[in-house]
Amino acid sequence: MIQEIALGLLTSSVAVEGTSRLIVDIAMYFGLFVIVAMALNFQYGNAGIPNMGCAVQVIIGGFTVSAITTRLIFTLAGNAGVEILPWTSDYDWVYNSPVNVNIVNSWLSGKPLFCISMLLFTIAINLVLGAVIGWLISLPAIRLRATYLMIVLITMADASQIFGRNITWISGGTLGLFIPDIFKWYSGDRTIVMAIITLLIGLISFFIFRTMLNSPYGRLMRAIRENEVTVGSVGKNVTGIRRNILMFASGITAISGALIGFYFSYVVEANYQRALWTYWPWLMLILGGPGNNAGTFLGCALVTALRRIIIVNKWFLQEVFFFPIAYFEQILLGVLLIAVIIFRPNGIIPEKLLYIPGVNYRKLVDEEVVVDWRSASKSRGASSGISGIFRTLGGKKEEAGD
Amino acid sequence: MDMDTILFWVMIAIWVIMPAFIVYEEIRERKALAESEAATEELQVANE
Repeated sequence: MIQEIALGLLTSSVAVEGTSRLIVDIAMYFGLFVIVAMALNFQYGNAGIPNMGCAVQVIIGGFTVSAITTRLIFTLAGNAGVEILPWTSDYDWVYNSPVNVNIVNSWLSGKPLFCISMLLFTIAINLVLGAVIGWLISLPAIRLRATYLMIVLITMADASQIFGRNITWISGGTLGLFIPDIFKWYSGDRTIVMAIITLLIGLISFFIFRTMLNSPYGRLMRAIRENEVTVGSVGKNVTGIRRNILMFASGITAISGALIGFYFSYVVEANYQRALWTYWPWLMLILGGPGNNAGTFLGCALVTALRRIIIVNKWFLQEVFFFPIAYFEQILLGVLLIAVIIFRPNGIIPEKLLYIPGVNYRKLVDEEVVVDWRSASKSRGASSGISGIFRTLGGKKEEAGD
Repeated sequence: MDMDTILFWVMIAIWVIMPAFIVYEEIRERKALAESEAATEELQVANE
């Protein structure tokens, strides 16, 4: 029976429309937000860097596709003898974009290897440029305390959008820019291929982050999160480590910006709003539980499914609610954030303690240590007074102070 | 069966495998942590 159902499902033809279209759409956005939220978890959940500038990192990905990859494809197509309209001036770059992309798309349809190499090139260049932008935003911000760091990064997210809006050669200004379809060689629905690639990149980035977090560097990151003064006092370069974390996570986050550009075959700065690429990933992280990947995944799945269902069924939902449905998403973001912070501040799946073989970490954390300086010896260098300084309550150590 | 259908089910498979693997790993780590705590407790009791 089950075999028959499975066989029936697998052999049935799935037309990518209606519910299937919604599923592909949810999968695509889930993959994108998994990448962003996991990078955020890496920065905030494990290293304590409250990165409110995720949108900057994502927008760099989009700008890379429009400003570098598209130019490269146009140049190579021109060199190959494809007759495209002029595109070097700002005016031509924007207004000839639809026609040029159409011409280039028909040229790309017979070149799968070239298209795949363009995708890989874009991912590679995104990693590099994302890291560079991570380094740039860390220059003025990394030494700041958490609150000020957040404010500076929010401002940078807005600034990057203003750059995109006003500098035409980046992404076509307010009109945006069409992107060559690098899956033109595939005869079916290219969005499924994009969704698969995005989910695979999400999975790979999960393995990368997991490996880093389980390494000694991951423990160092958590130590910085808990008490950066202590880590600094033992000779670690806290500022340098935080900068490295920001650069690394920034490179990974930039990939999602490029993927969304390819998904829509269109890049415009308005697609990379602060609310979408910073606040929603934050909600996912806080809802799932900062500091653990399972929580981040759960948060991503819940929020993405909820958002896409609301967006797709807006007309239906409008009949149910008394207020304009356009505000429902924002209301949901606010209400969920408040509810989670009040009722489950550690998220749905709270962070687990570190697993270090042979060390009972929970007991170390649970122990209450009271420092009693009055019982310390006044004489300098006296070793007898040392045991009197720390009196640990609970367990055998209580005897030491008595 | 056309290519779109195959890719659609591949996408669903990746989508299911990904969280399932992560949850499995999370459970395994929590179990290892609990076992490690129990072992340390036993060692301490034995030392006392």
